Amino acid sequence: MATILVAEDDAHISRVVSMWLTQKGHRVLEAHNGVRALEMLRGGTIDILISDVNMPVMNGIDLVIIACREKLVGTGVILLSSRADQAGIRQALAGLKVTLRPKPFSPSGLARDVERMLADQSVAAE
Amino acid sequence: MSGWMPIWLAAAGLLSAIGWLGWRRFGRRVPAEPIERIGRQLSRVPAEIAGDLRRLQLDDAADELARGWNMLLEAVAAAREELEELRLGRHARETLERYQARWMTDLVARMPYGLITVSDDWTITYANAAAERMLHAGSGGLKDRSLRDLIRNDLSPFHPGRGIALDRTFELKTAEASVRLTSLAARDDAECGETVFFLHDVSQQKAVERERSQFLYHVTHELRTPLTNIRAYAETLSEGVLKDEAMLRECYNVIVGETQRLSRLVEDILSLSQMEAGAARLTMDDVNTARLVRQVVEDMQAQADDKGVELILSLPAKMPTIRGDKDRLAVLLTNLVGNAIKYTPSRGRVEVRAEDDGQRFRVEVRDTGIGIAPEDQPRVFEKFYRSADERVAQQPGTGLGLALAMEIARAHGGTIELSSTPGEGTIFTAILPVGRLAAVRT
Repeated sequence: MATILVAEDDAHISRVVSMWLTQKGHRVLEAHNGVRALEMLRGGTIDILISDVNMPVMNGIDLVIIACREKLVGTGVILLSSRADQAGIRQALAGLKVTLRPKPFSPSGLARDVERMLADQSVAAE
Repeated sequence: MSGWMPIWLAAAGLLSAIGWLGWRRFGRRVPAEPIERIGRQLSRVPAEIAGDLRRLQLDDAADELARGWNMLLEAVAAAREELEELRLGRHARETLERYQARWMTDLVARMPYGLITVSDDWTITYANAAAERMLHAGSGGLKDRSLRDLIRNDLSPFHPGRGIALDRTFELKTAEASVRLTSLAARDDAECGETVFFLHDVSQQKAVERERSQFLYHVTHELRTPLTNIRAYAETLSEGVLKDEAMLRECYNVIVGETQRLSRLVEDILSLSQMEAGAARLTMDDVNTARLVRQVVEDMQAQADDKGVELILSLPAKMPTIRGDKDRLAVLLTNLVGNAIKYTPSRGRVEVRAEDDGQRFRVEVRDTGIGIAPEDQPRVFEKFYRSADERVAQQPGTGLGLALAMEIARAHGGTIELSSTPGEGTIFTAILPVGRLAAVRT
């Protein structure tokens, strides 16, 4: 079981991601903007951050950059973004270990990403 | 002595006659010079002398030489006339050429297309008025300035010279503008040195392109959220992840809701682009404004009730009939009233009032909502513009409602005015002309 923070301003998307990951036995926290997500990252131990790019107050790219710099995420970061924006995002996040998943995404695919990340982590730890 | 006078005169006359006859005899004995040679010489005789020679015509028609002489004289006169004509012709041609050259220079200087000539080191050697304007030259003009100092882009890959073909858009240093430079292909016999460039101001085109790509960017982003939800919830249902009846129902509701949102978005985008392109056909009719406003408010009542917002309608006893597209005017009012309800917290109030002064019909939608910050007010009618305010971001919306409402108002020769105090509320007033005289775009 891992603690996963979902930073997404659309309540429905946040809810469905949360639904799937809870079903898989994880503990899921939700934040509806970047600043709230950053507060939650700083406030507790988060294994995986799943973030949207377009969010009010602070966008997902800034959030991920701060989270990586301050080492606020234990296992990995998944950024949900449009396919068209990916080149620009890759450039902005150069050097950071971030998985990009294009929207619209498949929740089962996202759940598999999370499982893979956790498996890689445990292999590395052994 | 005077007695001798007649004798002297007679002797002089006789001597003259003898002399004359002698001259004729001698003349007859002159070996015949080649006629061409005389002609050649005569052709060199200046006009004045040719005139004098003419006076020396020999009248003895029977004499061969005299005939030849006279013929030559005629030829000289004709040649002279021809020469004169040629001289006059050249003058006229030169005048015409000079005039044409001046006409061309003037045309190039005044034409609305920019033209510059540039030397090998990018120094501008000539610029017409349009080029000065397009390159934002200022009072100093362009002559002797380097093109490199005017253009933001690096010009080094395109050194001017013979055979350099350049057709590119450049950004200016002198102003926020873009200019397309097209080099004129050098003539085959041209020496390396100057290149002629045509200039075309593409700033407006660039701005339109930017706006269009921004619009597309927004559209795709707005489409993505409902699509993401539909896909995610449909997959959730099909995978059988959920067993709970209430959660299953929630999934169905989200799919239905997001599908509606998607179709509303597509419809708004279509209507807006049609209105903007002027392609929308308005079905003009007599519109009973009382019925129109009442209908919109009735339709919005459920939304207001859900939100816990009081929706009040106050109409005067007499309402005008206006010319307009009833359905589109309903969209205009629905968007204004819908916005008011959306941004008014529960227990707030939205009031719809109408009035007319015989010239203009005004519908006022006043709310006690969150208000619009002064910096957002000039931009709320822009497509996809949504305030950064979190309370706005929390509300569903495409950012197209007000843009569409404004387009509809304008298409009817009207407008929408806005006044708002953050924290107190907002008043949107749709103003539409009454009567047939309105400038209506159909």
